[in-house]
Amino acid sequence: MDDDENKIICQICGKRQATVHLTEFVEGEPVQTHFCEACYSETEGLPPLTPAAVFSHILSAVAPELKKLTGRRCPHCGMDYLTFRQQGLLGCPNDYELFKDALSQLLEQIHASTEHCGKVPPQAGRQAALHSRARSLRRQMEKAVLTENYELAAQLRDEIQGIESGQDEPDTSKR
Amino acid sequence: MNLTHLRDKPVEWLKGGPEEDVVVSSRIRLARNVDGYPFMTTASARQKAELERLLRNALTPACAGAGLTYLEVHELDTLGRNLLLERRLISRQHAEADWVRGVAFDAGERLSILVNEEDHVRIQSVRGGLRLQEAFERADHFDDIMSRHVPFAFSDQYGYLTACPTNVGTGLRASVMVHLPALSMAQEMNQVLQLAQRQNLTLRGGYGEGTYGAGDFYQVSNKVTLGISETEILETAHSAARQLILMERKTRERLHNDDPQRFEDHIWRAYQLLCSAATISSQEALNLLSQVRMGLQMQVLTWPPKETVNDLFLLTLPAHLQTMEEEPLDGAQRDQLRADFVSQRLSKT
Repeated sequence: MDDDENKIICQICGKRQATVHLTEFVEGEPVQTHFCEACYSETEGLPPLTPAAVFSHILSAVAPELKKLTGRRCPHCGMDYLTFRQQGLLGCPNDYELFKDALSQLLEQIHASTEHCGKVPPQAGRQAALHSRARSLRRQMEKAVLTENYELAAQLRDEIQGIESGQDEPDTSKR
Repeated sequence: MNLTHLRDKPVEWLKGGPEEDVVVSSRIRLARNVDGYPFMTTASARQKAELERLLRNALTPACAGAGLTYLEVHELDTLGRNLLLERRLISRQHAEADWVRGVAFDAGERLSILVNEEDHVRIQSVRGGLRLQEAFERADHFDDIMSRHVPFAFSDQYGYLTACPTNVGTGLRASVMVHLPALSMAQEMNQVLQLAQRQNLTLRGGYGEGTYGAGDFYQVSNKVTLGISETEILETAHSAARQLILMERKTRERLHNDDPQRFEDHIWRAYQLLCSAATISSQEALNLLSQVRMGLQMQVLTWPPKETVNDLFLLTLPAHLQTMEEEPLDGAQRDQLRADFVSQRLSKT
């Protein structure tokens, strides 16, 4: 067993070691292709390699929104949407509100959600803790339904209703 | 400030833990930003200095209580920063930034709090073996302590606000470093990739800059941080790690049973090469140590002690080697020193 046997060889040139492993879904099935960096960069139509470029690639998917947002600049940090698009990093917490429309699509793509359901810091207050808790329970309830655990789903539904009607205090600021 | 004394300090998370035959370590990272300040992307030099002071002060009681040491990273030389980086106390981005920044860490190097990284605060907690929950609880505890002194940027809808939208929400990254030499040898890494994809997890190389799968170490971590609770993130990563453990163990046994001579020969060759090579690169050392690690776990080898091998993963890295010499080493000199050092450590006399 030579060390070289552990290496995956580039499927394009068949010579160099493959360091880029691209997985694509073809008819719902993952299909993997192995490239060396040289062959990858010479092949057209492939996603970019660096994290910043990948992020920028995702962002370009929301291009129609860009036009609308181009002129908008954050009064707090000076960030505009195009700069954010290029560097993949926001300028300040206010940008989440300022670029809300485009960000919602982006967050949906990255996280499949636009709503937090986890820990809440003390300064965020009771309402925020209640909202987060209710969202978390709702997610658990949906999972329980999917796995046909209806008894648990019913318990969770009651708990959510309790929170929403203001009967239950959140037990903790967490989770 | 000279940090060479760190070299001789054992790193707790390299000492092993539950499921250590496959899992090297469990790591948690919480990303937080101070409310009322811009992210590092747009913060001015004055704001960065203010943030560093504010966060250092907020950390002072925690530092005293938990015996944390605080270092001003911008005051360190390149070697010092690289030492911290190789010990995973800071990130590459933090090591290479050009602004005021700091790090607080405990004596066992199981906790490090990065100040002025991509986000204002990154709380990192690590444990040897598969212990995500334990690592999380420590990070969460320090998050609570810091929250009492500093209000973190938070929105009811989006949760903890971070510079990069990929971290928003919980700001939690839970990652498990796994050692998968048998799956790699059997060319079954595709199964691992598919498992990660099915569970919405990311698979990255565990060691080596930009080298995917160097030494057959991989990191499995959550992709999603928003719309999912901390508990669920931990459970998903934990359950994926458990599946990988079973897959790797089964493959090790299968390969060994199918052709014991070939399998053991592979491990013995790696060991002998480490003992007698005159020059050895960082990458080659990592690959060979990886085989020796598996050999020890499967009792093909009974020497060297497990701790020696674990230490060598760290001590053979470039900055750690450099601390052994006064004069700066070039690549070739470092490879010779590495070979000498490894063979000395593996020697029975």
